[in-house]
Amino acid sequence: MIDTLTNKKGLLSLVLHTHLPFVRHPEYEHFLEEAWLFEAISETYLPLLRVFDRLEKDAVPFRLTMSISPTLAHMLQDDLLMQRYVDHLDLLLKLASKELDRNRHDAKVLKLSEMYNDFYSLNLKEFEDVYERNILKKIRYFQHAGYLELITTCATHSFLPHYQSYPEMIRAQIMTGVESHDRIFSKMPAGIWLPECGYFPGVEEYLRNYGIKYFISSTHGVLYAEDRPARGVYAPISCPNGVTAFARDRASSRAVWSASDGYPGDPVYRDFYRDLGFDLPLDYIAPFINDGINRVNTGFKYHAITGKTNQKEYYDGAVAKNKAVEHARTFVDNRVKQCATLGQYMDRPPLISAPYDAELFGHWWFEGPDFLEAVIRETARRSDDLALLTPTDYLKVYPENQVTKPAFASWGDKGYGQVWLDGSNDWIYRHTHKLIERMQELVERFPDEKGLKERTLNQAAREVLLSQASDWPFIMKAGTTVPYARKRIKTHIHNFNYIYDSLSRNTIKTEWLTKLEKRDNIFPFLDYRIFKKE
Amino acid sequence: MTKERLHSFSYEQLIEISSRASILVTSGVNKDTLVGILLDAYEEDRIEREELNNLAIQMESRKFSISQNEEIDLGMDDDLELPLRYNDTGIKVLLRDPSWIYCYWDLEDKKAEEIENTPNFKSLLLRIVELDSCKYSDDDILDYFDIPIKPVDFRRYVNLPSTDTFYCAEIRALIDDKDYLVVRSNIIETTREYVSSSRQNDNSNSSELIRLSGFSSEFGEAHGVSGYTEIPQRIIPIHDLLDEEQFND
Repeated sequence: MIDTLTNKKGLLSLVLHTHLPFVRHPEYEHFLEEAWLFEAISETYLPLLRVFDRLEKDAVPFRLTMSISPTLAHMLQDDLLMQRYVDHLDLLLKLASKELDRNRHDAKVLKLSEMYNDFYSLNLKEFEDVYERNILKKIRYFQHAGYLELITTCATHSFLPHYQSYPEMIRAQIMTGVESHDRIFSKMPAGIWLPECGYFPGVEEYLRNYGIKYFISSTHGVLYAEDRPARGVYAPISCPNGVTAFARDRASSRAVWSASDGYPGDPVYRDFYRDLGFDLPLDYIAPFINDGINRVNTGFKYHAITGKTNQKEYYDGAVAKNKAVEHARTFVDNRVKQCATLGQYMDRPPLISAPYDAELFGHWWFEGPDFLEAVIRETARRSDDLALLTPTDYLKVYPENQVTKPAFASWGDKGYGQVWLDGSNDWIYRHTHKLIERMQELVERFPDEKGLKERTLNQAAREVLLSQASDWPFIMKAGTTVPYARKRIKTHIHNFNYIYDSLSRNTIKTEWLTKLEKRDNIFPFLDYRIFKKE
Repeated sequence: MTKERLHSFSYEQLIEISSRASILVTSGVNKDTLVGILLDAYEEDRIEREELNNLAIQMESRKFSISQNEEIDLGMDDDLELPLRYNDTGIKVLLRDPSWIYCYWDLEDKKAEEIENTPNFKSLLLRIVELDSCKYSDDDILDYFDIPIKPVDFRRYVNLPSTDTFYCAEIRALIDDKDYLVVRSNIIETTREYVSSSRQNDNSNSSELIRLSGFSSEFGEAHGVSGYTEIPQRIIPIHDLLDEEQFND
């Protein structure tokens, strides 16, 4: 491998971060926010697995890094949620059938109804028959086959810089993330996705303790390092303790992220915002939307972006796919040109680290998986110029990197902690910090409990971790589904405080606890002593 | 938000929605006008949010986008109301960005009463202390400034004068003309917002590579790579850069 990679003109490391917060509500028959998971499975995870399958079948070599958050991995293994996903698909297929009938006299629209009928039928068939409701099994397969490097992230995707004064909590988030990953994928992760690329100086000490060799950093986390990064962001830097930081390349992300001047905004691509859930009369669409009253996206989108107009053209899948291939070729071509420019100044092939939220591919940018597949095929075709690799591959070839300390940074707006700490969400920290302190106090008071008390303490630890998800302050700031985010944080704080008070009074209600354990059933292996003060 | 969704609410509910969103409506306005006002406000809010967020955040938020109808919670979640404070004495500092910290604090009722009843008690102060190291010692104090606070205050954002240094916060009681420590916070290390200067043995191409990483090569004068820098050495804030287009995808 060393010879192969050192001879390349450039190296490309694609990192797909898959994450959704823990959303599971057995107490309701249907729960709107569970659709985050269902849409991601349908539009991103299953299509990506198809991409990997096709590449393998065609013997196209590829190496990708994929971080799978512990909360997402848990949900993907949860029987209740997976049954609900099947129910969700059944409902969509009923809508497809209704649409086939409604559009039977309009060939153009009928073709689109057929497209969705085929898409969801294939999803259901593969999910049930091929993956047996466990898509992680297939991801594990691609890991073992050498195509994917799987890495982890923090237990509940907590934005670590805002908890840095609680070392035990940082440890708990990282340790639980690593342990969860190991249990699911039977392999210790070499790398970690620091949630929101949130790095603070010193976090690498915790990472090293759990065998983590690298993390993904924002661009300025490396550029503003203690010492000037001699190779810019085109080679990683090593923290003094040996943990390595790979910085995001900004040029390669804008083209893929931007709705205005990036590829996903092309007029021929599917329009994300036009959806049958809002286009059709309420009495027709009622069985397929929330409670039959509140319109939601159904996933059936018949229009192309077209332009900044409400008069949208109908979507043409074949045209859009060709465009995705064309964009992929441009993307690879630009990376090759970028590497040629960079190569003049470097003593080793430039490395372009390109991390993305995986859900971009498919869910928002419907043609994203086609684009990704074409990028991989095009990179394989131009293998003299560019090679795909993972951070671990890179470190095997270049184990020695400039030693310096990265700077506090995130990939959030303005580059630091503003997204997760502003007027909309700062109220949470008084409570989530208090929970950590109280949890530590509980460990001191009950260091070696068994039976019901141990179960209670373990559930308390679960509630502490769940309250710290970066998603809730993020949603409060971003302004989507804010009441749900507020309620989730409050519920976890409330649950914890109830346990705390019950333990103080020595009056634990078994029935209440069992119900809560069944609802917030994540991390069954969790031991509350993880919060023990050092 | 859709017109249809807003029309599904009663007039009273729409008034309640406007009031919760701090949207001023003239009394006696009819339902259609009220719906129009709310739609405009939601659209304005959406555009503002989009403009305020960078691409990574816009992308992330789309994961949670399942409806064009923003969730409207008209419920009163009293059963989940959280305490405003925990009646204990403490102060915490969180680093928000290189220039701002967020402090929150609390004083136990007994302690607050004791302070307020001290003869000649004048006021409470929030003191922001700049330190030379990550461990507190009186000898390490580089500078400090005070912000008067009221007993009902429990939190504040504070703008910091220096980057790349250490800070902590204290609540102090001003009695007579002297101030006394009530409680001290954790210490935070602020960050650099500049590219460190090159060293003699650096790769001579580093400036060009840093420029290509997204920064101009005009770095100005050399400056310290760590430790205390009294004047923020901000060269080019990252959000002002337009360099992403340099490879013109």
